[in-house]
Amino acid sequence: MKRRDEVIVGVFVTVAVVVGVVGTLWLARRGYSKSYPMYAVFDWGNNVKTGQPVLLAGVQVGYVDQVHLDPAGVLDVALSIDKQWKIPEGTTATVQNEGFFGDKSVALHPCLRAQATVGVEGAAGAVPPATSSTPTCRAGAFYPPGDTIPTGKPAPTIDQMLARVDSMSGSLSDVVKAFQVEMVQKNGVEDLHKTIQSTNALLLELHRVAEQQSAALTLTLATIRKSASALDSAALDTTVRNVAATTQNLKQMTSKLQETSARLDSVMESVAHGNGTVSKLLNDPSVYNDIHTLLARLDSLTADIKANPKRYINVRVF
Amino acid sequence: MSATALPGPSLPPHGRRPTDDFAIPQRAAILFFRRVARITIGFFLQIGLRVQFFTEIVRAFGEVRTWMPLTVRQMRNIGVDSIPLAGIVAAFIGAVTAYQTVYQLFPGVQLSAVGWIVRQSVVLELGPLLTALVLAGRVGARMAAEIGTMRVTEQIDALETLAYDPIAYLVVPRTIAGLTMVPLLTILAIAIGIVFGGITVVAATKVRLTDYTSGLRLTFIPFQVYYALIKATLFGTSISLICSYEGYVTETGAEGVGRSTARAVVISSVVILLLDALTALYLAPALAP
Repeated sequence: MKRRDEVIVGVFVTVAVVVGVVGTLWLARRGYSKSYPMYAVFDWGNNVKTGQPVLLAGVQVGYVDQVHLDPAGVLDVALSIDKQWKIPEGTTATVQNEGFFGDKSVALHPCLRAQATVGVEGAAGAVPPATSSTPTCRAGAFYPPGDTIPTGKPAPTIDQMLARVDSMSGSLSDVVKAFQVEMVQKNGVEDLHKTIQSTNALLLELHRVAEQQSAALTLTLATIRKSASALDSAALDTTVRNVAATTQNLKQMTSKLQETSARLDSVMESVAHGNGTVSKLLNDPSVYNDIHTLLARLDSLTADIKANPKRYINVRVF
Repeated sequence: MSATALPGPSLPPHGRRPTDDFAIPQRAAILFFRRVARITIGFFLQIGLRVQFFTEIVRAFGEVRTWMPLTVRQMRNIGVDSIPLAGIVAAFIGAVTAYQTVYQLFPGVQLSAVGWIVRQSVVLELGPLLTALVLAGRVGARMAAEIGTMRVTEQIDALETLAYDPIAYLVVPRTIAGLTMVPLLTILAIAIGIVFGGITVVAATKVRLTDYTSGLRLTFIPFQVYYALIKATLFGTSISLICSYEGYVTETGAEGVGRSTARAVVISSVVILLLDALTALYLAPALAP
């Protein structure tokens, strides 16, 4: 074959060009599945790069196609979403960390189903109404291709996490220093040892006392059991019956005393306020005056009798 | 006037140089500067000779009917016949790079980083550079030896006698073949390296194929491939021109052929590394995604 070299070189060139073109397209377009564009806007400093994965609820549905640095302070990011996936309406986009070393991905957070249902039916009070920062959730609705996905709350950056860890480590260092001052420099450890020893001694003492008390209690219980076993149940029953009869008698006596007391109350009431003789004797001042006058007269009579006995007494023998 | 000699520098006796009467430090300094001047002049002479050679090549491009029939043959020599060597080198580069990367990752790093590192290494650096160095050894040495042998056996003189332009006949086909075949070989080498890297890590480690392909696509921009092709084109052209020149200026028999061949490989390898550094210096900022 005269032109063998030309054929071989032609095959080689063709294969190399095809491999180069197809390989580049495969790397650049994430394979050959068709996709559609979506857009998102993030603040500067989110470390977004082309080729980073786009995750919808954790499932990779596309990749970052282009990143445009807007002088207004935002990144205009073009996302390439595989045709087989649709982005539910109400989904928000954030840049999240992947691993500990600054890797990033664009995470799409779809609305929860409950929120979506409420949004459709417009139930009052269950979910706050959608605002510009909280996009509307509608079940079964999807963003059209080429739309801009609202931005959600970003995940904390590595710097923020490191700052938090730094502050925590600072606090921990302070605690350790204070602990060292209290426990080492001020002999806190020695005090702690002494306290533990004292506590151990106290516990031993308590243990000893508890053993003694336990022995005494055991003895008491045995005595009680012995006494209880010595009690005659028939005599006890008779005693109980007698106590019950006595109680009944006391009850009857109490009722009679109450009746007597009531009668005395009525008598006393009639004496105090009635018109009887006793009442008048006790309550009528005229009686008192009459008696007083009578006594005065008797007094003067007695004096007159003493003075003139013969006026009243005539003794004649014959 | 009397015949007395006039005052002034006396002429040295026969066989003596004017500096022989100088003090030893003066003579050492003069010898040092003389050598520096000779090296400097020689350096610029070499550059000038090569520039002249290259202009001859440019001129010889006009001799289409001379170089055209021979170009395909050189393409096969440089390109097709180098596929096995370049493929083996690329396969091992990709496999070892991927395997090493897996075991250098810190805990917590995504496994897709393996694919990303392999792609960046193979596409941007290892694929073009090692392919070019391998070709400098295989193709460049052959090129210098062929042309050098033709020089010492006076075949080049015979071509001139037959009214053939030796540069259009010998150098231009090799230059075109190097210019075109090395980038194509580089593409194949990159593809082989990436594929074998994936096969290795998927078969021998816990990295999954999806991790590897995900990493391959991470932060990829087509300019990375263009960058590799630019480097490969520069490398291929350098190999062809340098090795052709070293063979073309071969002197003094078989020893001269060997010396020309060794010098061709060394110079082309060093130039490849310099060009690699220069391309990285000027084009690497454009690779940022």
